[in-house]
Amino acid sequence: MGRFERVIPIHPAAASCGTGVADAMVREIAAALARYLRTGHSHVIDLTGMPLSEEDRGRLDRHLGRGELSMDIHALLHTHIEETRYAGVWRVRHYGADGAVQGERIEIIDVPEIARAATTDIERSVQRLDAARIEEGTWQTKP
Amino acid sequence: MADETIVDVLMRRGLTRRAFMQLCATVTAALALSPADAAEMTKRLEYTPRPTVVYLSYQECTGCLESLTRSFSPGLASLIFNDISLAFNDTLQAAAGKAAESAKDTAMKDAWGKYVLIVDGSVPLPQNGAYCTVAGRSAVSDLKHAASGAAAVVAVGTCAAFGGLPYASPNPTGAVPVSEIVRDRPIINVSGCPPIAEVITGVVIYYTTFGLPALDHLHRPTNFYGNSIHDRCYRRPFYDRGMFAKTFDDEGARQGWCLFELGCKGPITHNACPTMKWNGGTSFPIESGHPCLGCSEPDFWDKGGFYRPLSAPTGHWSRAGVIGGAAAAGAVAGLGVAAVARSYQNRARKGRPSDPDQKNPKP
Repeated sequence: MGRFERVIPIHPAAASCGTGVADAMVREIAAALARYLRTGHSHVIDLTGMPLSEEDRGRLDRHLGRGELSMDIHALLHTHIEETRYAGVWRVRHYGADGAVQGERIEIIDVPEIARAATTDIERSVQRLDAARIEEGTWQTKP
Repeated sequence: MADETIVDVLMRRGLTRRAFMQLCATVTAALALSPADAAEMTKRLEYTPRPTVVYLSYQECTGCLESLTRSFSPGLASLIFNDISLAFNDTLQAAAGKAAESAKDTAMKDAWGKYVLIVDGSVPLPQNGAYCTVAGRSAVSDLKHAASGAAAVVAVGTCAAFGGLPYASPNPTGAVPVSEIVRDRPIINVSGCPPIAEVITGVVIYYTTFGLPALDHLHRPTNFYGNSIHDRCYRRPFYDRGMFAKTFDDEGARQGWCLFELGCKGPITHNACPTMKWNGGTSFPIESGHPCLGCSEPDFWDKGGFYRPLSAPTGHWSRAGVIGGAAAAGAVAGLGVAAVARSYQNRARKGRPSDPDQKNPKP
């Protein structure tokens, strides 16, 4: 008696039903992918601010599925890139240090922009390799 | 050094362009920018010099700074704000006394005319500002000097934006908001007690890349303060159906019904709490079962009680009228409620022993 009964049950009304956003999004993806093929214009859908219910999220996940390729970037944040079962449709998620999703988007493009090595970074790598070679060279000429 | 860009700072730390793109992706998501604006921001951030931020505190409780420094995961917003931009903040810095004052002077001199000045807290005017002094200098003269070298002023928190708690009746120190003192610089009010951390950093980044954001009639950025709490509240369907919690422990409260009758100020409060949420996106007050206090609106302390329903004592409208109207008229009902609430607030203000509008000296 007592303790168990005194617990006040709280049943917040769960958003258990779909809002239709997921279906609209799938149509948007299909249109954007067709356009990318035709014109080469990439497209981004930012999911971070979207009012998606759990059901919506589930529908979207089930529909897009998983493709062949996934990539992980460990820079300022951890970014996980995953191809969906549709070639050219990618899911890009940015995780904070605590593992919380800080940004989530669907990108319609051949390779997500963030995965490409930037020209400035390649230039710096060339310099670093040169520097390493010179260092190595001097080390080798030492008796 | 002053012309260094955010990309330069990241590269200096051995990070690549990918880190910059991660930064942009998450910042633009937090700002709720359209994909086109997000792409534009990425382009501009690459070339614009990093912002210099000078943060000054006057009559305040440091709650705003607590919000700013503690509620997001270390890494992203804190990186932009603390590591890249923040040139002076007397609470966070290690220096004290004369060293702190000279750090402030140096920070302002180095970026004179270009820095973003964040002001936290209200400023008292009587007795030459004697009720708030830092290093022998009154807050009012300190603020006037700092503002004269600022590109823009961001008033963080309801105290700086609208006077807040110090301004509340009977306002013993004669406190005024920043806008009463600074008149010749653009002012962005980021109100809230405290404001959402991501909103504070978001405003600084937005200003750096695009200039002044669109502001409402109270000088608050519309992309964060454009909607009322009520309009975005997940409990809104209960309001529309007339389902209200009557006490904090009744069946309605347990079922998560609307908190309007428990004093929720959501219908007259503009903020981003329902969408951006608090503590790293965990929840917001209404989600925790507490009515909105209306902390991002002017005079929220003096609105006649946090737990008194907006429509309760007016007498003009029957309660059934307000609530029934809500169910019938949907979005329009919010306006009606706001009008009723305003009429009540005006009466409440008239009934008070002292009227802050008259009591506060205008410089």
